[in-house]
Amino acid sequence: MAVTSIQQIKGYTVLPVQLEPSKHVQKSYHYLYLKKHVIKNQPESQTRSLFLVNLPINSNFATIKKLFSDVAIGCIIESFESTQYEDPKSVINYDVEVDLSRLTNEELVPTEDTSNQRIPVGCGIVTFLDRSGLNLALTSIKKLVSSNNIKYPSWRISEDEATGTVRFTKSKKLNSEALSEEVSKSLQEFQQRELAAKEDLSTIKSLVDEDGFTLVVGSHRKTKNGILGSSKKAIDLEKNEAALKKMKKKEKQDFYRFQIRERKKLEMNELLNKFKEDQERVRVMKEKRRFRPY
Amino acid sequence: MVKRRREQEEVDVADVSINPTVPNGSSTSEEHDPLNEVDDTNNSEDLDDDDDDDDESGDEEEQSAKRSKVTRPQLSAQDVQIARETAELFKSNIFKLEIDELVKELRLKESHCKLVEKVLHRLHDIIQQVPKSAEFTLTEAEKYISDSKHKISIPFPDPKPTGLNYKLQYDTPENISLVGSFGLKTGIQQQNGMSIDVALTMPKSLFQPKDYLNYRALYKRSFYISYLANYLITLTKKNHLPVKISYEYVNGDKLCPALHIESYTPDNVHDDDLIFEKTKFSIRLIVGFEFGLFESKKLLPDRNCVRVQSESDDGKLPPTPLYNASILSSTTYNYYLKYLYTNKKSADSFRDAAVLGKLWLKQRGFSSHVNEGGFGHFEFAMLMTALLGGGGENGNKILLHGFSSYQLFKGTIKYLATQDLCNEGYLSFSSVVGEVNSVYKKNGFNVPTLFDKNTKINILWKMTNSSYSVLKKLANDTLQLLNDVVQDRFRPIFILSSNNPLLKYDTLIQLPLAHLNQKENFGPVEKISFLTFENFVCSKVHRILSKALDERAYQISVTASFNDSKWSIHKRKPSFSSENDDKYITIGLYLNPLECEKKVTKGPLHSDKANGEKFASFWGNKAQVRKYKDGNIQYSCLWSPSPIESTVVTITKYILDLHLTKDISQKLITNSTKFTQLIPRPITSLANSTQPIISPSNFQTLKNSYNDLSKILLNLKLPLAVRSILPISPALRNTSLILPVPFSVADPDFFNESILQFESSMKWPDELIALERTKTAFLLKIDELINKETAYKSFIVKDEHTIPYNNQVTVLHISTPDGFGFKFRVLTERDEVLYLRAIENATEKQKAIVTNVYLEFVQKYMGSVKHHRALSTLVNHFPFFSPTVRLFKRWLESQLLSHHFSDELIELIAIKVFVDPAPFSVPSSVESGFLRILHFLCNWNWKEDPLILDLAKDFENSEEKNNYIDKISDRLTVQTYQSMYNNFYSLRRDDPNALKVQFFIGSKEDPSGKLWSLNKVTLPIASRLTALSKASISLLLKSPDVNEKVLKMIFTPALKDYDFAIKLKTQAEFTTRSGLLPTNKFKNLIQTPTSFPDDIYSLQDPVQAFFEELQSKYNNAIILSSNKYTGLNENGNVNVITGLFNPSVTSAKKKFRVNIGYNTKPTEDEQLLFNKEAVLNEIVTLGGDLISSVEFK
Repeated sequence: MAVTSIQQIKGYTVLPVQLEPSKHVQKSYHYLYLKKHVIKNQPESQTRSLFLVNLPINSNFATIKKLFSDVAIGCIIESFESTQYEDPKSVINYDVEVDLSRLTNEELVPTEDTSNQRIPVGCGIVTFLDRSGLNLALTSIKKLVSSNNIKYPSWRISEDEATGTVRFTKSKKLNSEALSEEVSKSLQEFQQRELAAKEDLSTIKSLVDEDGFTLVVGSHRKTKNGILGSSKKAIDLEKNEAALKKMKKKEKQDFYRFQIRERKKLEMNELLNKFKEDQERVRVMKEKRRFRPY
Repeated sequence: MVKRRREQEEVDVADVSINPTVPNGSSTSEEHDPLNEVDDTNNSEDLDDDDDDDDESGDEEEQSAKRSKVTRPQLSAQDVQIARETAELFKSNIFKLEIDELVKELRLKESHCKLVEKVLHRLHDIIQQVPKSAEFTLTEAEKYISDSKHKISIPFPDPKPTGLNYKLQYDTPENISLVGSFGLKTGIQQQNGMSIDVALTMPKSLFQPKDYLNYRALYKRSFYISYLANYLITLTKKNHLPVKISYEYVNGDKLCPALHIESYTPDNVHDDDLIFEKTKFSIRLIVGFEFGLFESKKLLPDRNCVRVQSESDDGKLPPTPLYNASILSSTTYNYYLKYLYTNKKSADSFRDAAVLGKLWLKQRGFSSHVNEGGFGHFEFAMLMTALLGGGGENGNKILLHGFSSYQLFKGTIKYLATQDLCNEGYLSFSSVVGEVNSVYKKNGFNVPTLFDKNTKINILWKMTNSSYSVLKKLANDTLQLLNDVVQDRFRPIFILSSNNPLLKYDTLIQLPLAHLNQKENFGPVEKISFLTFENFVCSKVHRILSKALDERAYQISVTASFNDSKWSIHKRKPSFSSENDDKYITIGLYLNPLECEKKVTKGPLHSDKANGEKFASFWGNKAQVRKYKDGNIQYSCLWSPSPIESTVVTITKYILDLHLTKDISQKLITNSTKFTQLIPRPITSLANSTQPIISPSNFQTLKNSYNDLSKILLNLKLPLAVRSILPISPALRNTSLILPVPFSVADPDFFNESILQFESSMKWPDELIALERTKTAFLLKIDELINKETAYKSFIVKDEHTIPYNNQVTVLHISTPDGFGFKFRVLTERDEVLYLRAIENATEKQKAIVTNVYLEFVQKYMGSVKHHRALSTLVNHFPFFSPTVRLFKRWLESQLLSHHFSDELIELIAIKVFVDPAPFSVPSSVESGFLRILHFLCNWNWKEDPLILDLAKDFENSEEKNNYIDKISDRLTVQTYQSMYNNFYSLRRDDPNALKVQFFIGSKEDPSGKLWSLNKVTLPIASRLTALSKASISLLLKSPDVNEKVLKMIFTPALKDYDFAIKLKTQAEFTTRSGLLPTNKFKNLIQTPTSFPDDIYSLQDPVQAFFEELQSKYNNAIILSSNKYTGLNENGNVNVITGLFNPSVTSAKKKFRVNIGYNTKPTEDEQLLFNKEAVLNEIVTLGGDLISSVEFK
């Protein structure tokens, strides 16, 4: 399989990575597209990160580190973050952010810095220890790509990550103690947030507005949204249904002659419409040859 | 009311005499008038429909456009009238419209009829030209005929005459007339062409009054026919009517040969040649006798008219009902035609009803032919006529002349379904026009009887008790469909054919006629009462089996598997009758699911000596006396259980060996074991080898273990007590493919899942992820208690994929000391609230995604519970559901489809043929259930039709719903049906190509209908399922003897259809580890696992984990398939993973995009292309030592 001759695509440098042949498959190439990672508030010259597109399978700190050490000796990687496709049910949409935690109760979610942009699917960010490391890596990659007759770095699923039987008969049991610790930690955090929210709530309760009113809250209410939400809904309901229902109940349906006539007409029309509908349905069925018994 | 009044006018008009004989051309044109008249009132759009068969589709569209233009302004009082009337006279509007459309569709083509009329005229002229013959003696006649240049034989019936003391002669027929459905104008289009009956009446002068005795009239007729045939060959050629002539028996009646005439196209066509080959019509020249030629009293069914040497001492001869009826029938062709014609004239809708009846019978394989039940169009019309003139016990009218076609049809079906014309009583009528005196009389003759007092014929003489019982059952099934007010049942009643023997019977058994060795029992006495050997054997087999199977079978159909169709005029009778190599007696059983598998046949009490002796002599060695728990001592037979053979087959084999022919069981062909042996067998069957594979007791130990564990869980001391444990695992409702076996940890379904609910509490966190963590905390507590305080072992596993975006779900796995595994996930009352809140809070973009997440949650935590509850009831009610669905799962598994369909979806598809079996009945055997599922799948157009199931627990089909309990029954109502149908309708409006939801399966458990199909099945996979079932069904139904090679092929995947196939081989074998019985090993080498390993995962099948990883990484680009149960494959260590590239991803170049989501390579023009080679390399690398070979297209 030939390597493509293209070196740049839309501003990204194309780095072919060799996938080793085996008994069953030929050697083939994977293509990484990379360029300097630039974010707002940070000029290009200051970045220490490289933005990678089209990550190969099993990209993690170890494998990426290995790759860069193959390409450019001497550059040291500080961290690696990525989003990789993992969706056995085709429900996840990577273009839209969905955080169930936030959607179910915004108040109780840890206020993380949302400025940290999500990484698009299949992409990763490699941060080097310093800017010279980044520059070293980038120049040697460019050199590698433009030179002829070269050996591209190869991609290993990594030595420590087993394949085959060993990989797929790994135990999935969770360590109870570790899990228990993890759970209690996260629940503690959650309780703190809950407490904070409660305090928030009590400040609202004790708040006396300019007219001298305070908000009355039932003992079971847990959240601010719960209270405000429900009071909002109550207003809506009153406006719409109850009033309308009352109005309707008072009216008599068969008092005037015209009402009766109207109703009969309506019934007749309904019957006719249904008849027409049925005719239409049968016509469609006929077109589809549904009346052929053989 | 309106109709009633019209009826009286019609009766007056009907008195005008009619002459339906051929040469009277005007009768046909007159004939069509009343039809059009009827249609005119019904539907103003029918005038232009006659020719739309030949039209191209474009033309048709034009027509429909015209049509709608025409009908629109006519929305008038008349329409209102029709709409109202049809709702009353017919079941519903749509049903009436459908019937109208069907009747139109079935009408014979005008152009064909015209052509054939010309042919008939010419034929009539030709027959008139045949000269009179001299009077011949037998030898002269034989010499004359065989010396003729066409080398014809005389079709003498058996026994062939040797010397006759009377003369044979031909004279011009007294009358030539058109009879049968063509004569009656009730002919319908048929697949293999329609046959037109023309009756010739032999002149009276050729007969003596005593000729009805001893075949005399029949011999005379045989000569008459051959003489006629001889001349016809010459004359038709001369008169430009190129035809082929052969003999055939009228409706399989061996006493009544006729001439079969069909058209062909000669090499050089003359201008005057009349060729009607294209119409597919054929003509049957029947030769009859004059009406009233013989004294009909002498030919009553209980008279003997064939004198033979009797062996019995008193010299009394048995009656010859078949012979008598055959002779009498030959005198009534014209007579009955006139009778039916008059009745048709007097009832407006008679014709349409007769057409419906004819189609109904045809779809079910019934016809007037002896081997096809002996009840066809003619018999149906006669019955309907009789019912128009009474039919009740006091002679009250069952049908009225003003009835609509639907009412006439339904009334007749109802009569067939509910009145016993065989044992309890019979229907007697008189075929004199104007006489109204049909009466149902008590005390039947033990043969199906519809007796015409005037002609002394039993109209049902060709029926047997067996065919009558089947007809009655079919009528009953149809009656229930007609009474269904919820769904439109038009299709199963009229359109779907249910005539394949493999599909319609529960068990099909074939006996080769050649091996029966019954000739010596077929003596002269039997010969005259049964006429043919086949009739004799069928009747004997039916008698034996009815007694032997008793309550196990509802109906037993015994027929000869062949129809002696036409044969060459150079032979006296069909030639293959001497060697019976390819002839079979077909036994079709409709089984009683609750009785048929019982291991004991109970006879009379020990004290009842007389009956006991009968029992013992009938059952031979098998009969024994046993004492039962209730203290009774009874004669009984005990049937030794076999793991795969059904008890009914065992009994049939034994009893036929005993009473019919020794060792016939070796030659008998049946399919039942071929199918049941495909159901995976558990390794435990090694120790307990007699346990039938289909028995529900296979699941019992698992259930006991589950109940024990539930008790422990319910009594645990926890902050919130466990309130309920709701099972959702297939093995706990008897539907798992692999039977549960202790310590079989490699079974992917080893851990049976349940939903755990705690007492309600207000304190659950009000945020989803924290809630999930709290659940984990509870599971941790249970885990701790279980491990500490009981002999059970447990551990917790993370479940990241069940609910997308919620990766904190954990599941508790518990293994029991007796070797089973269970897993539990927690549901709280907050979950659904929170998911719904998430949908509410979501932005426009997020909404669809979060809704999908919610549906995933509903599926796993709530839908599956409801499904399990509904199904576990049905499993008990339908004993054959469990093995059938397991075989169906096996088929899906072998076709690499298991991963694409959830167990719930598969079970819902499979339950269809049980809860809604029409046009068949509820399957009572594995093979019938399996074949009907496939048959349903290949006919299910899921793009256009929803599947709406009634999973009610209330199975009583009571017509009247008056009492209080009936009203709260959970059966499907019209409203719920309609609302589900509307759900489907709106679903398809948004997604007409079924890209999102392919299979809509609505039931009271899931009115949305999409729960089990959404996000799981894909369009290509759904289409593949349909295609595979079509291919399988067409292969399987080819022959009633299912070839095992074919069956094996149907259970083998076609790897060529995929873009790549990666073959895998594991180091260990997973057959015994999954609890399956290896097929190719010595029994003493098989080791049954008896304990759990330290880490259960070390013994699990790596292929499943491999597949899951691939699935989650490449799901958007490749449709991956694999076997879920490696243990079922050869040696238990091979598997395959196949892939179909998603064409929208992989075929075209895409613009460069960072978040494209799949592996790409750059192209010269700075675009991206899917990088197949790299993906394949990745897959193979991941698979490592599992890969054994790769095939890549």
